[in-house]
Amino acid sequence: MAPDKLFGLIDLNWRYDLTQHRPVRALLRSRWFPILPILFNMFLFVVILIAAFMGGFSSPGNFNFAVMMVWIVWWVALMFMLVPLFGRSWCMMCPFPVVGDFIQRGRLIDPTDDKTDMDRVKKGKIRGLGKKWPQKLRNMWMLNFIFLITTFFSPFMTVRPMATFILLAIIIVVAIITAWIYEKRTFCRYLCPVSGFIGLYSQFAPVEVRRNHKPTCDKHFPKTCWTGNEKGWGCSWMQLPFMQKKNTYCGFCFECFKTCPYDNMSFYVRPPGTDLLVKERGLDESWKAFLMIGIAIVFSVSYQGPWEFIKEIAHMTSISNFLVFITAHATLSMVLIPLIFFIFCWFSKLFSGSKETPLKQIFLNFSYALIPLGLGVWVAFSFGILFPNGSYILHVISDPFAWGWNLFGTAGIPWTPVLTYWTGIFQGIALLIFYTFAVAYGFRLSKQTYPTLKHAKRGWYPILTVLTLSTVGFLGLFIGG
Amino acid sequence: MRRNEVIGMVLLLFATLGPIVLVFGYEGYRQSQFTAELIALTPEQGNWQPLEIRVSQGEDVRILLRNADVVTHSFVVPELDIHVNELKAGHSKIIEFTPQEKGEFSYLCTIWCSPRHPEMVGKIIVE
Repeated sequence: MAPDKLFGLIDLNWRYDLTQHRPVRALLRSRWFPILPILFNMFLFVVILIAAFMGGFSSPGNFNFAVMMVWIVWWVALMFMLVPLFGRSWCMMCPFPVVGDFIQRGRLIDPTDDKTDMDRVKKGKIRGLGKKWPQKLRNMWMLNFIFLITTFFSPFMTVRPMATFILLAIIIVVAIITAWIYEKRTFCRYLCPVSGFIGLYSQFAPVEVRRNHKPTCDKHFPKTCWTGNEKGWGCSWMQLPFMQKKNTYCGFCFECFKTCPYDNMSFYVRPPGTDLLVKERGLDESWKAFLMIGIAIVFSVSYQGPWEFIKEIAHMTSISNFLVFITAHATLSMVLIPLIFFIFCWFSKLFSGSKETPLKQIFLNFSYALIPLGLGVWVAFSFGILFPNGSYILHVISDPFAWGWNLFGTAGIPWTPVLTYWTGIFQGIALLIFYTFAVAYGFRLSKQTYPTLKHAKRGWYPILTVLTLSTVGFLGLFIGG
Repeated sequence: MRRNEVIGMVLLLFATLGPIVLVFGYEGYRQSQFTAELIALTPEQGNWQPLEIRVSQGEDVRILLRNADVVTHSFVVPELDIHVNELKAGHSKIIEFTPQEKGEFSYLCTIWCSPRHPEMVGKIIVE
């Protein structure tokens, strides 16, 4: 059987093992990785917290280190590079859970220096209650609602330093409390506001952590990548590294590299999006895909669109405006978009002629074609944030608290929009690139969904239509008429 | 405790407490080089802070003027011939002068910044 090649070029089964190179493997097996990047980020985030707190409610957000670093630099880096190229690489170096990890483990670097600690290492808990997260909530639904609610306050948070401080403080406090009550990285997996979309879009990333040689894992007991040993902790993200198939919940903590006595974990480069074809799917992830597209529409229309009355509502100048905004926002993202997509899936089933394929299956499978599309929309949206606002970064790195500092001599650089004339073009290119991935994987999803190729081809047209119409819609929104 | 753990804890302390010490330490050192820090805000947001600056006749004065507002202000002391015609939101400027005469000298914003703009007046008292 001929290999399935993405765009006729790359075999979807192709993998390049980066850890075959000794320095890479040594890095991932080192106890100092990723704790050193985490501590570096912790230093930065303490500065961010100071800037956010000192900025108060009245200081201009565009001259505040916290607002600029979080909502411009970090967000754009996340959408441009960290997620599409490196999956959950942000989770790897996120400083928020490190206090929780320390509470649970009682140590920062090495897992143990005392044999009597081993039992506790293997259980993955030392301090805290170590409860398991409720079974019914072990999905993305909580993440969907938490992120949706967070976006209700975006017009406020993204301009008021103190609002950014409050948000970050809540996240830190909840992370610490969760670590005390629940096991391992329960917070990261089920409560962190950004974990949902990072996990969802990590399925597109061209990197993965997977076991290398299956028979080696089959013969190995106990599975120390799960239990932990004297070299490291068991998987913090409560995954089973030896049978991991998707990036969604792999936080790139690399503990499995440290604990595998056979060096059987590898860090692969792969064709982008291969996780989309893995048949582990759920409606929670589907709704996450809808939600991200809905939020992109709301943000684009509210913050970058030409309609003044919508901007006024979005900026919540009154309680009634706030209620209108959140109602419209939630209805669009959680109801209307899924409904529209459902209608196209219904047509897909009708056109396919396949009576035995459940409509729910069609809806579920095809919703994964929205992952590359949604990622493309967010990359495009991020151009609209970066180009007009990027020059403020030069000011805030020299004068992070607007106290009159000039650390690097750039505090006097005036606001200068960069490449704004070309913003629409960059956005259009980003949309089209990710649209091609959506189409490439969408048709493959159709072949997975329907019993024959004939059914798949027929059933594909409505989905192709909705993907195309969505892309055209976003092109119109970003580039204009 | 193993050496790695000690090093890790030191780094953790540096990452958490280090920024606080460095930021406020540096700011304290900077502040010591100024006679006063003057923050520009619209009257609705608090007006000039402080509204009164006391200095000594004949001694060099160094004021850090900071616009902590979201609108542009200016800083003018007509009787001392000090003019900062435009200070944008988030920006700062250092004002240096040596008052030769005793008295009270008003400083004001000359850019229409809010409905209560005319109230944006403070005074430098030279003693």
